[in-house]
Amino acid sequence: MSYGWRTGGLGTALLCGVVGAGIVHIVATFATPGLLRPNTYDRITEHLPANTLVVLGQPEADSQLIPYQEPDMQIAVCHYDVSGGPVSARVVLPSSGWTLALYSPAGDNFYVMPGRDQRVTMVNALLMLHQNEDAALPLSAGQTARNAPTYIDVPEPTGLMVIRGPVKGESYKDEVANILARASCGPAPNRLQSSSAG
Amino acid sequence: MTVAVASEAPARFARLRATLGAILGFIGNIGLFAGIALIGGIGSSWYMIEVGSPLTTVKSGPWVSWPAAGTPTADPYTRARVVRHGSLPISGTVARIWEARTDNTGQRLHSSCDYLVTGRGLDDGWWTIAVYDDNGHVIPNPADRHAFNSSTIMRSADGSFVVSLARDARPGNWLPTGNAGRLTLVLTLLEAGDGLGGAGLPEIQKVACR
Repeated sequence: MSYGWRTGGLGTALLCGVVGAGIVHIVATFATPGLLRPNTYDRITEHLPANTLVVLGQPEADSQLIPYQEPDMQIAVCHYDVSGGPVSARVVLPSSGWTLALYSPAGDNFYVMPGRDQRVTMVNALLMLHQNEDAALPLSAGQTARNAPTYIDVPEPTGLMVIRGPVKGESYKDEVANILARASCGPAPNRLQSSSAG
Repeated sequence: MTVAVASEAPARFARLRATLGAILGFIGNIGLFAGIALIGGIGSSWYMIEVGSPLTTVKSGPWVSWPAAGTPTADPYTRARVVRHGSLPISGTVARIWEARTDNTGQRLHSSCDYLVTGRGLDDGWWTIAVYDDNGHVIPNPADRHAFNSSTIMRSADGSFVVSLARDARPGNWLPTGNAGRLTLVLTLLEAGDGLGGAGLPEIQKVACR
């Protein structure tokens, strides 16, 4: 009798253990992103002002902010915040290897624009929340549909814009740095005018 | 009366023993349940996040790619892995990122050994091959060299290339590994056409160990 009870208990424990392992597996997997704080977004935004493009350059052994950052790419990062209105992003992607990528706070790369060889890609974008699309800015003086900005829906008010510029050799470093320095990320011009008028 | 008490004592002892056995058995079963649930659950989750499965990864020799990394529709394992590694990968729609932590024989890459990374093809698009320590940090070295790309790599006449991973200087495409310990090689291909399929990825051969 006692032997049978123990055998039954052992079988039940094994079965429950397997079911429990499945539950723990699911909980641990889904909880991992939330448990690993601060995450990359937190670490980067801690150092960056909002809506300002900062050139971080190439990673160095003693000051690498992003793990697995491409060593032969200079990067510029903007911590955008569209909660106060659209944010304007302008950058030139002169060749292949260049990319403009937008990330949500969870690290999702929801938008990416790669550069192309033999064609200069000009990005003139307005980042805005989906629900604010009705508030799309009208064309300003001198602006045509051709050079009007591209509207990009962002899933959350804040996130990261990362521009990567490939360094195709030592002699290209300054050129890449200059292109990154000319890129911009900041409140949309009309937003600036309305806020200064107010 | 004395006889009755004397005959009850073994029976009471037997009941006590049975009760104790049942309690210990119950505790043992609870421990077994908790052990299987925690070790099995956390262990399998760790495995799926760190190593992956055919559902979440593509493998080609020692190279492993997580195609959904960085995409908003990534599965929970890929999402957890990206957060755990702290990287900001470019979406798999544009870039394919391959990682190698072992050589072609399956042995862990380590800075105490020298390796030759031999590649062919990789003619289309922009690519870069970089070496990191186990935490994804570049390895400090006097040459300040951490990667080669499709523009900086020196190729043979047939278009192939060889990268040397070694602590001491080597001729040609040398990536210093210093005293980093475990190494990770990362090959990033941007819009590489056929190269995205996994064919033609470099081979990693161990040369010697100290």
